[in-house]
Amino acid sequence: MHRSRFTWLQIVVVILLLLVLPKLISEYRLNLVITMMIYSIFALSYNMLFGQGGLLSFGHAAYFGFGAYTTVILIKQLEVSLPLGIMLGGLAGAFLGCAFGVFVVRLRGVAFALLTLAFNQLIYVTAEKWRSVTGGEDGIAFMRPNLFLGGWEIDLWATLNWYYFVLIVTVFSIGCLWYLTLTPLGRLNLCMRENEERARFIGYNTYASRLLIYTLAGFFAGIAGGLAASFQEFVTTTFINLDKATDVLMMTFIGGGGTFFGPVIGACALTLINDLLSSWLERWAIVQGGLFILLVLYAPNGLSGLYMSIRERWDAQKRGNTRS
Amino acid sequence: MNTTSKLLDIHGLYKDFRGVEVIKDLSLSVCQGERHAIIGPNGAGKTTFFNLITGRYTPSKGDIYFEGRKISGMTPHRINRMGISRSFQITNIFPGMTVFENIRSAIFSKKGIRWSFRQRVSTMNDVNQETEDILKLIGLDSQHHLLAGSLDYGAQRALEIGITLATDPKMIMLDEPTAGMSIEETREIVAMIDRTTQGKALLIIEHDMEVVFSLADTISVIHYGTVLASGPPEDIRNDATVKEAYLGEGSTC
Amino acid sequence: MEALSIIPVQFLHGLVYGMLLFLVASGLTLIFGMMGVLNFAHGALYMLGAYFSFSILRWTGQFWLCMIVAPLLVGAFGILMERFLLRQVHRYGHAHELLLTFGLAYIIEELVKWIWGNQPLHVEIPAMLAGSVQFLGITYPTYRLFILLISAIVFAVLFLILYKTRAGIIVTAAVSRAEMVNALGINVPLVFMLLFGVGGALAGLAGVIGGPYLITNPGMASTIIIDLFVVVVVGGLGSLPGALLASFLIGELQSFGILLIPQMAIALEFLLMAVVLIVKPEGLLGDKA
Repeated sequence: MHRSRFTWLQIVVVILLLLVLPKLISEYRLNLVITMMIYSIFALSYNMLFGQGGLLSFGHAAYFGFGAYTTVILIKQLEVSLPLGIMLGGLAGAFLGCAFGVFVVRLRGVAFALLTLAFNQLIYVTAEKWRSVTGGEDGIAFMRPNLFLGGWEIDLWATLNWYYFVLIVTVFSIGCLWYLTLTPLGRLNLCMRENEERARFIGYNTYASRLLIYTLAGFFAGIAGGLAASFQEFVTTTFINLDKATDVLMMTFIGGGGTFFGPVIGACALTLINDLLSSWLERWAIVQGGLFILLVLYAPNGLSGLYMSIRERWDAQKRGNTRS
Repeated sequence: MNTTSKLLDIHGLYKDFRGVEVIKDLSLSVCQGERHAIIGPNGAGKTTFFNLITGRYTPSKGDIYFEGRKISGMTPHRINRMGISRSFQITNIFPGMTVFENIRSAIFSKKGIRWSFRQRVSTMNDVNQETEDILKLIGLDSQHHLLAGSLDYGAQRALEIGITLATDPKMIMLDEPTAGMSIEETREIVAMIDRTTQGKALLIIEHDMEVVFSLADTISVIHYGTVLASGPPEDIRNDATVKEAYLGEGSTC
Repeated sequence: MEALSIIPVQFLHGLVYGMLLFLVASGLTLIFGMMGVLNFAHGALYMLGAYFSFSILRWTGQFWLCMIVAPLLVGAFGILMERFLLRQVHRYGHAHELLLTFGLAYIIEELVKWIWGNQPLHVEIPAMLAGSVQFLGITYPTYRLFILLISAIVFAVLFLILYKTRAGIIVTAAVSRAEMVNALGINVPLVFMLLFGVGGALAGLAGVIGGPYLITNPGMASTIIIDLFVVVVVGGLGSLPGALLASFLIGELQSFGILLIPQMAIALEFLLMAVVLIVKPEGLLGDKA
């Protein structure tokens, strides 16, 4: 029933692999994997709107950045624990998502894209100008606090411990997002993408439903933002600017919004290729832009959609061969 | 007049678009279990009338009562939850989802399972069973895993009606269910409508007179946004004004 | 005297930027009204105008030549863009078209950085337009008045063409009722292509004359596209008089905003855009239907 072909076995294998990964790769590469995981959450939260909901947003960085600032300020000023800080970052993202959502989910298509962009810019300008709180363009630096579990103190400054922390948050977040697609609310999101009017005429309050989805997307974007800021031990306006908003759009689109794990593929591929290519190909961004345009033109469902259609054709061919 | 047996009651309804009156002084009622057909020439305001009842438009003047409660001014989803479900003249389904999911989305709504995330849909056996039942009823059970958008036209029309039925309404409203169908397909779909709407109130817009006379026990003729005549099929068939306005002089039906 | 003269000077600043905005926004809003395509790459076309002009100026030293050749090149670029890229994705809908133009804006910016470098370029103002003039008790740079003059000439021509010629009437009709024009047997794809050409050329011209004034740099496209979106939304998606009014408003808002409330000036613009989208999504002068 679900379009992606992942099975439980495959998921268990991937998680096991992630658990032993620190034994297999260097610390530098491990940091890269942490980045991939954080952006995977961000891209998946975006895909609740884009792929599953059929809404093109140019303002998802607002929730990512708002979550990041909230996490950093709470940890620095109130000395809350890291898990609580990230959780509250998520709630801040949800709060902002709900507040903006009241207005944006009334709109569709280009108007929706423009209003999300306007809100993103408003939040960005606020972060830039409200120096006393946000530090303006200089941002806020802080120290990732250690984690206290019972009587144990876990040093999160050590890459290995931090990696496992991010892994737990990521598996939990992605698990939630995946589970959501299998529930009535997740299916309703698809219904509204396919035909919002029809959904209304069979008794769904599509406005409230869209608002709920938008709020949840804000929550997970906030979680990703809180994680990203904790990772870099720093937050600045680049967490919330238009480039961040279009980055997540590019990741999601290139990976493919039509399958659940497409955005994860996009987030990982862009992070990895960016790291590999940027060292010897100065203008890597041109390749990324070119890839994006090629996919828009010839594979509107991104890399995962391309893979699926090739595989389908392959299967059909195989079936044809065995028949003859 | 006994108003309690009236399911739908409309009195003096008006609707204008930028000063053009599409519906004027329209009054009509539907009783429990009644099968009521709306006929009338193109542009008479039949679909606008449907849109007013189901909340797509709000009336300029006049009120609509359903089970004694005022529904005009309500949003479409509230009206649907009151027990009115409609189909559309232009096929209005969820094309990128499976036939099964098209129907199931309506079953969820009927059962009030809209925002739940306590359970995965695949484990909700009662919902899935009800969905299969509806699919059998509309004859699409063998195609339930296909994408709705890939079905042929006749099957899409059947699905359209299936979605409408699946919310288990007290009153079913069908807007030209046989539009664009071959004679054979029409016969099949009419039999299906007849089978599935037994005992329920039915309001149907239809051009095919054969269909109208085989299904309806009351017929209303709408012309220039108002009810020209209303009554049992025999009366309408013999009504002189109706003949003139709609059926045409010397019509043989 | 100093304090008093600041008001007309700020007003002129706002007017100059507003008119430059309108030069670019006119094409953007017509394309949107007619095709439903919000061209994210329109700011990039403006930037290309500025960069082409820089190179032509370097080779020939003729600013006047730039004003003719660069817009033609950008117009041709716009036509190619419509014909070979945008038309391919038309069937996927407007959101997909927006994605394509976004990708184009992204790649054009990267290409510009690659070819011309990341640093801002200095474009010399032609000698006869350098310096400033005095009138009505104020001193004002000649070049900015020149921008005003060119913009005024372009509007006059544009309005004459749009409202007095057959071709223009087709375009204005198509903006509000595209399917009707299609039914009249007019070659709509050709009109679209030409519109992209003309819109591109106007953006290119704005780039040529705006380059020396607003600094030619690889970020100029993303800076102006945000202002352009505000103009198109506030004026009314597809309304040319609306775009004129909104360009003027945004120009003055920025000019006086920076003077009066420097912290909030940029935020005001986005606030205005958000409020219009929420309260009156069709814009100040837009057609609701």
